[in-house]
Amino acid sequence: MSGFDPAQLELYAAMLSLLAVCFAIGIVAVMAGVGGGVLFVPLISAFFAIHVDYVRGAGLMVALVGAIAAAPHLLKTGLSEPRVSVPLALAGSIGSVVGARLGLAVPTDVILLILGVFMVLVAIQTGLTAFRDRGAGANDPTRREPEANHDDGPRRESPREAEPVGFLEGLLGLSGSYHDPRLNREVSWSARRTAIAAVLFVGIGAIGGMLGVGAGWANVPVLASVMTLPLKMAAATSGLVIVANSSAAAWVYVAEGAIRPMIVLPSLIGMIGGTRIGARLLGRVQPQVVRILVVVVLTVAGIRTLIGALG
Amino acid sequence: MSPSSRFFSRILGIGLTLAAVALLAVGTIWLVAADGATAAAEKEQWTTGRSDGAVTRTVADVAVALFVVIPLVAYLGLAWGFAVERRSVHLVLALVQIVLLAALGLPLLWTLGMGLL
Repeated sequence: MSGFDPAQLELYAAMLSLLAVCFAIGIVAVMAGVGGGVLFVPLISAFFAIHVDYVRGAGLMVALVGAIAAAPHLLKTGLSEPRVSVPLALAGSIGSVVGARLGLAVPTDVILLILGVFMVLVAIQTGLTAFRDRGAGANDPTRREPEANHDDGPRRESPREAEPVGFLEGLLGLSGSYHDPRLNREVSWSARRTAIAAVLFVGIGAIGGMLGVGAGWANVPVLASVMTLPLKMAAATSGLVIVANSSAAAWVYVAEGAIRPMIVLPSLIGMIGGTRIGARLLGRVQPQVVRILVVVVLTVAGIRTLIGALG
Repeated sequence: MSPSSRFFSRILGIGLTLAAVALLAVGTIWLVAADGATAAAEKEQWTTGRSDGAVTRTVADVAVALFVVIPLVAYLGLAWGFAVERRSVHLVLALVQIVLLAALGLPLLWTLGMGLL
């Protein structure tokens, strides 16, 4: 080791700045109710001089670690249901591997273009969620569910008869119940339209694998709206799907040399630290304010990325 | 919660910890051992992308792969655990998934194997 070599100092400074920004992203992601990966890739690729391949690789690791860290607790509570997540994770994994291979094969400008469009779409989705929650009078931050950190979907919690309603659902046993501690009662659920959801999960996995983002932003709406699962269960089950999808896609990124520990390491440390702090601040900050901030930042980052891709 | 799912949920937690420790250790060693030229090459490659393969990746790949392999194995175990528990179509489903996911992972195993050799 050569002491204070300028090149080393430059590397350390870059790693430290990456850590600091990821720490901030972690805080904001939790408070805004969006997945860390979905903010990480857009912001780091827009504002850091890091090749988008490495950013996407690191983004997958961020999403993977975040989801897997939450998995044991969600499994323990029964909110995360492997009977639902395992078949969907298979469909999503196939899509994510295809998406990852495709994403590393196409020119960088094309990926930046898709990423820019994706950022703007996520900004719109986050804005709509903020607007809907405001309309529903959901400004009380204490109402937020910590399980819903992978992204928000439709606000619906409707216990129904626990009967499978289709052939596939009956075959896979996709019905049951879980105990909701907040309601202090059993909530019954039964899945619907599993085949359609599986097809959608192939597409979601492909986008997630291609852009290196966790797919909670799309998983939860599909689980809640298409399969009509309760929102809490949808958010929790989405985590298990993200674990499998991100793992499958990460194999491709590792094999192609698109995951660099010097980028992944500070990113993970920063995100983990930030999400812990964000969880503590959750009850003290208006989520609407944070969501508006996220909308603004994502829009700026998206436009910047689009200009870069087209220019 | 069934004993099998409880068991595999513990594996998930332990896997995360082990993978994090492994990556931290390798990353730290790499960083401490890096000289100015290596650090410059690393930083340069952040911008240029994968076309400049100036920095050795093998050890780092193995460490990072832990992040991937452990949750994947835990995931397969989870599927298997539920399959065994229910003794039904889940068994077939789990087997199909294991075969498919193993096939998906073969390219990485090949790359890692070649890198290590």
